[in-house]
Amino acid sequence: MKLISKTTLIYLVLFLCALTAAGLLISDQFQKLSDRHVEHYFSRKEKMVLYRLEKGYDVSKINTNFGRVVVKNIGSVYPENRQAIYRDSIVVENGEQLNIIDKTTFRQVGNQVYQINILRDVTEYRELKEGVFHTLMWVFMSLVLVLILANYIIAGWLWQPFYKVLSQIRGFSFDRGKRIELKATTTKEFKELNSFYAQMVDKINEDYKNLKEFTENTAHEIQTPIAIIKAKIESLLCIENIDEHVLVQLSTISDSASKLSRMSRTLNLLTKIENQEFVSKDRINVKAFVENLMFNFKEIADLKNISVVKELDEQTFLDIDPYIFDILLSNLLKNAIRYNEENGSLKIICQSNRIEISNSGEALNFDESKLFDRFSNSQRVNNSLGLGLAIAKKICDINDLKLNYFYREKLHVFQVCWN
Amino acid sequence: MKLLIVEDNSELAESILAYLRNENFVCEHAATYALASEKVNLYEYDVVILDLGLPDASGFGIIEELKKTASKTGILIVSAKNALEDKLLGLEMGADDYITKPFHLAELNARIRSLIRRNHFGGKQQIQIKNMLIDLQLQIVKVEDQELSLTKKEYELLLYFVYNRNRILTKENIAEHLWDDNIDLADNFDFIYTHIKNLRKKILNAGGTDQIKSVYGMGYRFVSDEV
Repeated sequence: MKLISKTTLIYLVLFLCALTAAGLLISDQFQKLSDRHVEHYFSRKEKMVLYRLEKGYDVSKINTNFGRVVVKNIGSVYPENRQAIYRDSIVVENGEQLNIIDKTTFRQVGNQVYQINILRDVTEYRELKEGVFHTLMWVFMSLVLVLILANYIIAGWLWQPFYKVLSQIRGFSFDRGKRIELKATTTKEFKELNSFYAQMVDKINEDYKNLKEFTENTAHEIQTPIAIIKAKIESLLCIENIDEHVLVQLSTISDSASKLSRMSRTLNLLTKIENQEFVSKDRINVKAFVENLMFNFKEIADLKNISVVKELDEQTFLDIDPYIFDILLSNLLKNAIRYNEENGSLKIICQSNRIEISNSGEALNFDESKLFDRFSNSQRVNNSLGLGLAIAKKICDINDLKLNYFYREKLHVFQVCWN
Repeated sequence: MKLLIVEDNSELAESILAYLRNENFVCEHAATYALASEKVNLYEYDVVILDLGLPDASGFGIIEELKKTASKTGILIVSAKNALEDKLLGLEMGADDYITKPFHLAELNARIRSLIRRNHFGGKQQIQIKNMLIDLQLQIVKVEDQELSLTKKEYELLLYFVYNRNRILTKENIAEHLWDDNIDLADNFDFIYTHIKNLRKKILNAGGTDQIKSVYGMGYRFVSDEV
């Protein structure tokens, strides 16, 4: 749930609880107040009755009109239950509905016990109470609404610097070189957040730049000395009458130099892929792409007499950098041919969300889980760099593709899947 | 044929110059942009081999200068950077071909010869070796007037041998020439063996001489006493 929604909800619940409690309290106090008033009335009336009784007035003289006060002589003995009795009733008088409370007490004057019954009309009290209650409710509701709204707006405004940083983080990418934009703020915590974030981003960018430079420099600078090695050796190879053994050594040196160069360039490529340097996406028709590649690979497959079967769906598309896609497929196809047997088979399938390349060949003689590691291949053909599948895996990882491998029915199967 | 080698690394330049002079090219050398600029403005070269990473300025400027004078000079750019952008930019600006460091001198040789052939239509369009005729324009090979049906790779292989005749070419050298870095199949040399076997067979079947000799542990050499 969003931050503002959460805080708003919490405030809402708190306000409702607080205001409900307040409402109940006020209501209760109001009730108590009106009860006191009513009790005072009863006391006054009682006192008046007693006074008159003691003075010897006749009961009929004390009873009021409308039956508000009714006194009865009930003999000389208190009834068993002498407690005052309160009764709540609704009475209809002149077409109006009235709330009545009557109190019955028993008093002894002289040697006579009298039952005194006093009525009080509390309709107005009730109505007043309800009125107050309703008013309070409306006031409270409005208050809650206003508070919630204010909270929503103010929080939204207060938290803006935070949201700005959040969106910056969300859109962060090494390559873009965008200046970070942060909202100026007077809130202490957000000032700190801005400052730390800016520092962190600068540091990350700096590190990234250094790493990139280092990688590029290494790969770049290495090539020149290697070029010299190869050039010199080639010159030596031209010399007449060299001992055969010397020639062989020279050849080995030259080959190793070449391998060094290729390794450096390939590792550089791997790092570049990791650093997200190939993120431009084109809508690629996979069938056309594969056909194009096979144009070159077919000839090599023919050399080993490998039969090639293609099942390519016309409508398979993928959004990816074409340069990197070329490398991915080339690596897989290259392996499919290299680790294939004479007169073997090669099958390429592409469907709406996957590409499958399978080739015949002996089962792996090492742990399958190490297949995509760098340099792990003990089955390596002479001079292979051991990086092909590592690169393929890296490319897939960066582009949200899944790369699967399994060995089934004497076939090595590689799958590239996407959503 | 007159060549200008623009390369700032002196050892590398030395090797290139020695090799190419051996191939009977007339070669000159410039190690800085300033010197290269001076030379191209004073003299006409058939091919300029241009290293993009010069100490005083980027080599791209030389391409511009050459294009300004509307000369027919072939431009072959050399760079340690395998960057696609450099390659595309160079070719876009008017360079004819691109080669990355480190390269085999034999490869450089072959490229220069191809460039020259493309630019000089009046020049040699055919190579005759014993009873084999290579037509560079039609890209076909004939033995005793009978055309050989060679695959593209086999043709390129033969041409590479002929351009670098009498030199030992290692398997790796040949592989890199045939397949370019991109495919990087240069690490399986069995293919080379098969290609050469097929090529030899086709030449022999047509009555030609197999001049491709294996050099033990190293590679192959095209033996020819013809210049």
